[in-house]
Amino acid sequence: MDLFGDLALGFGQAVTPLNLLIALAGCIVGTAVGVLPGLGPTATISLLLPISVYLDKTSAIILLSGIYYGAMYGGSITSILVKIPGEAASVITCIDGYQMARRGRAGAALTIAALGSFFAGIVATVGIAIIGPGVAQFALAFGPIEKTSLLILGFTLVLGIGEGSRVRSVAMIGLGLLLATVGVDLVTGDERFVFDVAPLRDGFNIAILAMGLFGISEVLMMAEDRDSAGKAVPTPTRLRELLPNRSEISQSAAPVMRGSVLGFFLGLLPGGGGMIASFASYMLERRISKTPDAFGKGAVAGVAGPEAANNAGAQASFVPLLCLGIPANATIGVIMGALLMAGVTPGPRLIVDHPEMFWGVIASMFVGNAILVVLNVPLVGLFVSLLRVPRAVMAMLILFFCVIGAYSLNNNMFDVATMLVFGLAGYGLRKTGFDVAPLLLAFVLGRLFEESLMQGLIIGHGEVGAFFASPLSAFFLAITVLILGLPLVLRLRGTHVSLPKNTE
Amino acid sequence: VSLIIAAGAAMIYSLLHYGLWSFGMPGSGLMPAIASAMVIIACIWTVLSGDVGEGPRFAAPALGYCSGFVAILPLTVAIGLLPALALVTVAVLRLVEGMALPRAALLAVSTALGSWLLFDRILMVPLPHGALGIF
Repeated sequence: MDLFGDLALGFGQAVTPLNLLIALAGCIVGTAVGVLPGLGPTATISLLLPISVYLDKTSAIILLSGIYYGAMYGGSITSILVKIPGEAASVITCIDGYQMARRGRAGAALTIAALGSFFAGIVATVGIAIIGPGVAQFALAFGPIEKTSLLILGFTLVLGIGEGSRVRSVAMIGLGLLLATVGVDLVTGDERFVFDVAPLRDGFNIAILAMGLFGISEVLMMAEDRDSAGKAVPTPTRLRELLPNRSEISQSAAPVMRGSVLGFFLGLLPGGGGMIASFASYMLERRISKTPDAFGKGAVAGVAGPEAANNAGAQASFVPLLCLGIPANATIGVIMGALLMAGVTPGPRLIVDHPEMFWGVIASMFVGNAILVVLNVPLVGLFVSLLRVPRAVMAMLILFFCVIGAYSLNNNMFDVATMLVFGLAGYGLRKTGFDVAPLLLAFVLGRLFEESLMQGLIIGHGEVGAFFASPLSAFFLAITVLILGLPLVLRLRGTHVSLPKNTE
Repeated sequence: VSLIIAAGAAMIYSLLHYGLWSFGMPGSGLMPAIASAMVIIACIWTVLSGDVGEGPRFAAPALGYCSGFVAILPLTVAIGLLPALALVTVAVLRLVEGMALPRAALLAVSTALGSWLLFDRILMVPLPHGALGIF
């Protein structure tokens, strides 16, 4: 059957009244879950697994995947409005999205995020339909050694994120990696820095760290801003001012396209997904921008690119599952559980044995993205009106939101205390010139990095040379050396290079 | 300097308790050692390059907020999470922000009630009720 015939089969499955209703419900629940910190898509999908048993297997996957990419957009709303990333993939959006909101361009940021995500969703869906199954085989070339080198390159790129100096960013990356080691080591089984405190065995939760470092520390920064404590952030009231203007649209077009393609390919990698895609897109945009200094101060490209990459990555992460039977991340792992419960074994035979389900899920991505835009763009005005709340009141609402969100993760006060401690630490770090964004990103990538590094060293019998023997790994390491070494070489040769403020 | 001390302590602890290399395999202490070394070297570099600045000045309102945050934990144990949050909200809005008491109380109570409805009733999150079990 040709591609159009396959897609027609898929749309025949996805555009039934029942499946449309299920996709709508999934997107609404997903958006709500993304907005509320603490209730992540993994937990929500796990809770809804028993319900999915009562649905047809295609409908069940449509519901669960709707929640997944609905949450990706929902997380962006709080990132832009109050600087609390609802999801790990939205951390990057906090940086420029929040600054846009503070300049009175929250509506534009939210609309760009929604339309960018929609476009990326379409690109990813077309990509999955056309080249996904073939490209998925390429992803298998990424073993622990290649992944370690890719992550080292990622950490090098993280150095450029944020407002602090490069050396301070190294300190924050180290701190993030150190915090990621707390808990049981999955390779050796040792408990590290647990001190017989039971909740520490699982390590720190990403949401706890994000709410503390961004949410609580932002409340304290707001408290210092006495001039505007009783005032709200300037917000436009007319519809025309709420939407992006011509300049913002033209600034976001290319980043959205680049982010969509980058996000699609990074989403294919096992262990990939929206988080890595969004930060890689941010770094790419910053590197190629003619005005890198604008990043961190409300650059449109800093919202458009990562948001597109985030959504494309989230959707592309279905490819390793559907084509190879490998879950790309924890949420996709739970969706795999739903497939297994429905008697479907994901893998290379899925497209042959259950073509209606494979193409039905792909067609439902088109439908889900359209629903998200229809659902969210008209609500931009409502979301933006939240910013009219005076800062002092907003600070208290954020406190309620963060404390209850932290508690609801594991229903214990230890998480609340930990979040408040991270909030105070984040405030102290920001006051002393350290940016907390590299810390959080290093924390998120830390566990993946350590796991890959350990496995890579075991595969290479303890020889570091193994990381240079693989051509793909050597390529990533060469780029890392180039990024780190080139400015130094140019400086030694006396060549003047114009560098962004944070790159010393 | 605080970061150097913290990272140094973490490094010493990990070196004493977890091996860097064992049975021809990387040990569980390898990653903490690498991470601590990154923090220590970067911080020492910052200090040596004179990029330390004058030191932070913490404003009084922020310290007021911090006191409120610290009070949440013992208050929750005594009266429950939502009343504790409401009490801290009233105190901060009245004492730090100078808001009128009735307005601050109205805001705190309505937010607590809304949170109770959403989390306790709809999402069935068992919020702690405290020793007094008021809410």
